[in-house]
Parts: sequence; structure tokens; C-alpha cells
Amino acid sequence: MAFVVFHGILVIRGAAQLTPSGRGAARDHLVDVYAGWTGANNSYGFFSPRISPQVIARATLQVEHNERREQFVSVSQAFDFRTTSMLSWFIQMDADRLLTRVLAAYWLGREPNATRVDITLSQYVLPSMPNWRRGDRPREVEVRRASFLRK
Amino acid sequence: MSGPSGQIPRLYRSLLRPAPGAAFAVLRVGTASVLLAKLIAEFTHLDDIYGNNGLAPWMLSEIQLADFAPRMSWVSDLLSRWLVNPEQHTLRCVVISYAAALILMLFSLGGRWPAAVAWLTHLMLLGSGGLSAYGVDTFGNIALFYSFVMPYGCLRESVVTMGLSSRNALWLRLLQLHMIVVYVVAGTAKARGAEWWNGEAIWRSLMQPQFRVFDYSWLAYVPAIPTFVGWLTVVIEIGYPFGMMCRRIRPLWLAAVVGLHIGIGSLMGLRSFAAIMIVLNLAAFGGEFVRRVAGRIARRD
Repeated sequence: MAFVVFHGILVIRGAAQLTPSGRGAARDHLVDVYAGWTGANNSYGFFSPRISPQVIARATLQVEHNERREQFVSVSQAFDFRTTSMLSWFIQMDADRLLTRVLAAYWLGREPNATRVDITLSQYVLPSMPNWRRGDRPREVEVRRASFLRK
Repeated sequence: MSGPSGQIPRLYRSLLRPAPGAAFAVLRVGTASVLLAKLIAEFTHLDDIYGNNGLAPWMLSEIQLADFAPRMSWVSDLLSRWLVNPEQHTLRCVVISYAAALILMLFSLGGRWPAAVAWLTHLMLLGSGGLSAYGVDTFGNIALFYSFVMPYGCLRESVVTMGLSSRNALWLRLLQLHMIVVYVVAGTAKARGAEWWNGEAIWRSLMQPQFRVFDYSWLAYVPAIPTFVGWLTVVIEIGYPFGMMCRRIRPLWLAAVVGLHIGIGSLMGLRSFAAIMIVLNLAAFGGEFVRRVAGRIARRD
């Protein structure tokens, strides 16, 4: 009974995003470890309060004087959800520069013959419904562009 | 007339009321089916998603992890005692253990320990590939934890005949509380945004390239539809505790929630997420319904 009550309190605490008092640091740490393992520390505000624009990443590889364009989205839907989730995480963390490096390392590792890779990050900006009716259409707004050379 | 002092024992009795064991069988088998299907769907991209040479190296993903959170580098460090290049084998090792544990769970073999192995390996995949995690991973973790700690019975026994003692019923109440918290928080967070009241949230969700299964651009010319769906979503989520706790309207509310997730799965392509949410809902509030259906099938056999 006590364990069930304890877990229930942690679920509510996690959902309300309350932080421990900090008075019992070691005890709080143990509780946090437990909550992390069991998923009792999650908050559940999916798709709220607003829908963030999707982040799109593109890589242009130079492989022995031939240019090839790669898009991270549309490999398969199962993969797309994950890449998009990762891209959004970096943008939320304001770490877009780090993201371009991560993606460049991924592509240079995947393509051993590539000598250069250009990474472009953009946001997919969708017009509102009234603006769509007035003729506006989605556009991609570039957030960051970076080039990387293999040494 | 009973006063507040009379309500407390009634609430206590209600919490400890015996519950159908079908709930736990649904949770165990349903969770295993969904996570196995997800693993199969991701099979060709496992290295990209979870590998150290994938989209996000472990070192980067593991920075955000709390102390003692399970991670792939633990297995890699362990394997480095015997292997020269352990990273190549780490992912294989973890994924094989994960799949084997899920298969045992699916057939209700090995007691509750397969759920423990599946939970631990799921946490490792989630930890080291966590930058790309989304809803299904979070709820998969929650479902695996409950599958491990909840009472165990063989499949036929659990579904058809097993009733839960008052003590075991508490675990079901915990899962119910967890689901109520999930929906109330999700619903109130949505209600705070204007986009959910004017249909823009539904429009923007369906029109994003990642979720676009069909062409939904026609919705811009009938904004009443996305507006209605937005309102309906908020009402279903915020009304979840009332709908589920009131036994008379519970079947209706359960059908509405399952319908909501079928909609998310089919119209936005989030099939694994929709499926794990349906499993959790059926386990938490559909035990009686599952037992009745299974009982009818068993009698016919």
C-alpha cells in the first residue's frame, strides 16, 4: 500500500513538474533515480499549448566532384518521427550549431568518400487556415547553414 | 445520509474492490505486441537510431541522462573486457535481449522476469537513443514498468477466470491514477493554447510533413471540422477522470479515447504511439470488458 501511494505521489509530482525541496539531497537523488527509471517523472503536455513548426535538415554531399543532395525526412515514417524529434530537441535547446556538427559527422561517417558536406536547417512554416484560403502556401525558413570539409 | 466520515470508508472500500485480472494480461501481452511491432518497423534503421555511429552518438545522448540511468555504454564497457571492438556488438546484444524478452512476455512465459529484462533494455535504448525519443518510448517504458510490478498469472487464467484480491487491485488503481494524470495534464495544457480552440492545432498537426498521411489542405476551407476535433480532444482529455470513474459512462468514454487514438494512428501515422495508448487504456479501464469478451469466446470454444 505504502509503495503504491509513494509511486502515485511521484506520478503527480512529475506531471506537475514540481522539484524536490532540496533539503534532503541524497534522498531526493534516490527518488529522482527511481522516478526516472519508472517513468514517474514524466510530464505529458504533448502537442500543447501550440504546435511547433517542424524542423527539416538537408545535407549536400560532395563525393569526388559530384554533388548529391540528401534529405533526412522521408526515409521511412518510423525513422522520420525520430529524426524530427531529435532535430526539434536541438532547436529547443538552442543548439543548432551543435546539431549541424552532429549531422555532418553522421554523413561523413556514412559516406567515406565524401570530401565535403553542407548542412542546412530550416523550419517548415505553415500558414494559418485563413491565410491558406487567401493563397499563402508553406515555406521553409532557413535557420542555419554550415559547411564541413574532411581533413 | 452519510457525512464526510462515512465517505472515507466508502472510498477506501472502492479502492480495494476486487478487480478483473484481465487488465494485467492485456497490459503484458499488448505492450509486448506493440513494442515488438515497433522494433520490426525500425529494424532497418536500428544503427542510425540507437548506434554509436548513428544520428546522435551515445556520448551526446547520454549527457542529458540522470545518474544511474541505464545506457548502452554500460554494456559496451562490460563487453570491452572480452572484445576488441565492443560497440559493434553492444547494440546487437541489447536488441536481441529486448526482442527475446518481449517474445516471452507476448506468450506469457517466464513469469514477470521477461518484463524486467524488456524494461531494462528499453531504458538502455531510450537512454542512448533518447534524443530521438517520442511518445511511444515514454509510454512503452511506463507500460513495461507496470508489466513487471503487477501481479502475474498465465494468460488464459488471467483473462478468463482470475479475479484480483483487494491487495492486487491496488496496482490497478495505481495504473488508473497514472492514466488520469496523463490525460488531465495533456488536456489542460492543450486548453491553455488558443490553437486548440480555433482548429489551428489540428490543422498544423495534420499538415506537417512528418504527419501528413493524406492531403488535408481541404480542411482550410471547412475550418469547422478541425475546430470541432480540437474541442472534442480537449473535452475527452479533461473529462477523462469523470468519464472513467463513473461506471455508467465508462464504456462510452473508453470508446471515445480509443477512437481518438485510432484517429491519431491512422490520420497522423503515429501507429505505435496510438497502439500503446490503447493498450494502457484497455488495461486500466477495460479489464471487465476484456474478461466478458474472452469469457464468451472461451465458452464458445
